[in-house]
Amino acid sequence: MDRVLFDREFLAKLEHLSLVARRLYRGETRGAHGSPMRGASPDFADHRDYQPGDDFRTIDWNIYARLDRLFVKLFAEEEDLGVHLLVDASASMGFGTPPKLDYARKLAAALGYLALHSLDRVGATTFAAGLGGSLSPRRGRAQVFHLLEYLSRVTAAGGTSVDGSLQDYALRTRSPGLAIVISDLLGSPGWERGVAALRYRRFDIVLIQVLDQEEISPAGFGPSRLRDAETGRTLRLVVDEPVLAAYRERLAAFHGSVEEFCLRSGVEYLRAGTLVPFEDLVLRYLRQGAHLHARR
Amino acid sequence: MTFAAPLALIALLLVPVVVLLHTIAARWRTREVSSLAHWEETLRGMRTSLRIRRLLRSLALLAAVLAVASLVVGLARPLLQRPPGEPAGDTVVVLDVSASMAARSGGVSRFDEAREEALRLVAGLGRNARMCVVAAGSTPRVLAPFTDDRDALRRAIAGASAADEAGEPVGSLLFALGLREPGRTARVVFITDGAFTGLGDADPDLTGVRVVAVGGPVENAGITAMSFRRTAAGGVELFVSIAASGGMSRVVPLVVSAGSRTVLRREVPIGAGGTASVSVPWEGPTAGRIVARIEVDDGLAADDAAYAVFAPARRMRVLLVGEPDAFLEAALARFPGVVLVRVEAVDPVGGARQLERYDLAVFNGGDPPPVERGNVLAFAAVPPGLPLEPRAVVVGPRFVSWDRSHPLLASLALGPVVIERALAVAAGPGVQVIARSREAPLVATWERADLRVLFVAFRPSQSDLPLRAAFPLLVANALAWFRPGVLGADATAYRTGRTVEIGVPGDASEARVEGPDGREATWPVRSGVLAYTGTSRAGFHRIETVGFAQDIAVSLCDASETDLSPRSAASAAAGGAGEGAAGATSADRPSESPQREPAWLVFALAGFWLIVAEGLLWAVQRPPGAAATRGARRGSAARDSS
Repeated sequence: MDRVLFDREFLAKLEHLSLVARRLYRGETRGAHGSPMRGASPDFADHRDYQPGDDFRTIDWNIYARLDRLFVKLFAEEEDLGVHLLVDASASMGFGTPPKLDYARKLAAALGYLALHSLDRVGATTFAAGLGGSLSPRRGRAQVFHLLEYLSRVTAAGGTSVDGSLQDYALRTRSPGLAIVISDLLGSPGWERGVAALRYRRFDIVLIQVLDQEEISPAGFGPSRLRDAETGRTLRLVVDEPVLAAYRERLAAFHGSVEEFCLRSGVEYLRAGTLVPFEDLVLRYLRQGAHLHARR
Repeated sequence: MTFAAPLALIALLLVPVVVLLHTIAARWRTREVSSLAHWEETLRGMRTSLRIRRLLRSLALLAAVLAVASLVVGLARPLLQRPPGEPAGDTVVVLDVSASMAARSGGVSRFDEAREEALRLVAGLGRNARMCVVAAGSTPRVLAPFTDDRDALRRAIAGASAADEAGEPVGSLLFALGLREPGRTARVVFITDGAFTGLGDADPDLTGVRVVAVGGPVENAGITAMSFRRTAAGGVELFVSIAASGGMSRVVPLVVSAGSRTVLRREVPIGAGGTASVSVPWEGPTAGRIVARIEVDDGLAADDAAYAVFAPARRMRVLLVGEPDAFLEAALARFPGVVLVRVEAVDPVGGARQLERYDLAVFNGGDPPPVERGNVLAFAAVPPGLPLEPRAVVVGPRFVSWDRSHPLLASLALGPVVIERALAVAAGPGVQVIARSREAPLVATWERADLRVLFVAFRPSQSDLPLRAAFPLLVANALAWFRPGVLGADATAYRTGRTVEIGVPGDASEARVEGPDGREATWPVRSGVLAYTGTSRAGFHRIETVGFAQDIAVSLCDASETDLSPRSAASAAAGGAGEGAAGATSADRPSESPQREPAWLVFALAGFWLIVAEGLLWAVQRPPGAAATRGARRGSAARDSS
């Protein structure tokens, strides 16, 4: 495990965030982060195998008496939705000081931890040019360790295909849930199709765009040969104030288009520079109830 | 365009350095970015402005190169050539009136040509243009101040003529350059025969003076020196030097006469452009006027004769008052013209009247009476009524500083003089202290119209000065200062153009002077001295007052004026008439140098504005500073976290 990334301080922050989350969502039951049908009688929908950590009250004791096996009842509005952490691990995520990937990993770890604390199943997958290795969705405290271990091994490499990767994930995953996509969205035209594919598969999506300060507001370069971190292509350009102003304008327009798409698509969108402490972003996430809206 | 300091053009080697620095500044640095996507999008939208920016960078480099080149050219002091004859505002015409300008060729003198050229300049004066005319002889003289009155200018030019004196062109041109008024364009035109070595600080390449050369090569021979000196055997020796200019050797007949008597006749051979000297025992009279003449018919007559006057030593009645001092008495009495009378004291009341009977009163200590007029030499004594106030007695003063250029102290070595005690005085207004110790003045003078005082703070007997060579020299200098000419007993001669100081006995306030041309003029006499400046004509000048008459002899005797060949680089640049121009008439236009005007200011200003332009071009392209960037970053971070 990356003991530098997930140090004691980080873990302490996670605890703090979980307390904040509990205060925010006090009185809600497991897996039901604000039911859209409050006050309505839950209709029995199905059984599933008992898993450690499930609420004892949902165990169907009748089946246990008959079959000597533990099953839990599933109700209509209570879907067993997992939290899918999709982390962009392309080479562009390795850019920045600290690298954007570190920020994304901390973010994913924090959000995953909170979800696990809320007794949700949490899985994680990385993607670059295509889908990378994944962590199977599981509940319980043990999953926290697995999640941190998984994230600590992630490195930034390869090109980016948000579009293709998300479409692949949408096709592969049988049970939709809350998809938290953490990416810089750079160098990946057509990323909207990937997000749309997830929506089609009935995923609730939170899109978190992570950018380095150098990308948001580049410093004066002068005569420069810019080299793409992913593709290695170069571009000769005298970076002066007018060019930087045009760049910032272009970037603002891009962000605007992302916001507009997310608004139209019902995708919760968060954007942050790596200078923003990740816990602040998580708190914003919690206060906005992003995950609540996504579950509606 | 020519350059006054062409070596400065070496600095043009800085131009490649500027290009190199520009290249380094424009060095492409490689930077990694996460993605080129947005940068490429940005570029697509900026194609035109990027082309303009590339152009601006090239223009900035061009401005830098031109600025360096312009400043370097300015440092090389460029001189822009303006076609001759083109009037430009005011004009200062400097007419060379030195003796060589009187040289004639083909019946026309060089000065006649110069006069014609000056009149042509007057005729060519533009509207509202003014002209000033300066005569350049031994000293510059303004013949006509700045005026646009052409008639007045013509009169001034017509009334000018060449003098018999040697010229001083540098001083005259600098004087003319100083006449130009600020805020008005003015050119200086020097009309000359170029018979001088160089123009030094007034060189046309430095000052833009336009030189108009007149005259051509002329054969000439002239007397460049004549003097008489006493031999050890008591006789008199004559020395005459003759120079010739031109390309021919010749034999020059020399005749020296005293009055109507020819004393010496000799044929003197002289090589081409050479000199010859004659040194013979003088067998003529040692009184009266002497004339040396070479009997040649050449271009310049002024140098064909030299003049001298044998004058008897002037008598000077000197009254010595005070304690006996054998050294002082001996120093005064050794001069043949001095008649020395010694007394112990004079009447403090009626002493002034007694002193008037003498040419000089010398007080060796004591209490001098009040003196109203005359000449006083006071050793450790101050006559009442003078702006010298005795204060105390100083023991052991030493000479720490003295005016070595003052005629009283010329050739004196005063430093080693040991003084036992001296009278310390406070010098009042008008007193000129010419030697001093740390404690007090040691030698001072004071003059007014009819009274001259020389104060020495110590008595000769209270010092070792009488034992030194400086003492008789001091006494001789003092006598000559009080009464110029008192020491001369041999033939005297002066150079034309010089000021001659003549001691006039009695209390005459003016003297009548008759020049070589017979014209008479009245000159003021102050403190018994006539400062005579009317020596522009060679020959004998007679000075007369009541009971006094003296001849002075004034000669050209200048080798530079005798050599009539154009020698200055300025006249060469003007293309002074070359071979075959002898006999040129006034109808032929004198050659002149093209007018050159300093243009360094133009290039310096151009360089300055090019630097400003380059700065503006770079400011437009300059990448933002780090501080500005940090501010932008903080702003964007705040926006993203809100």
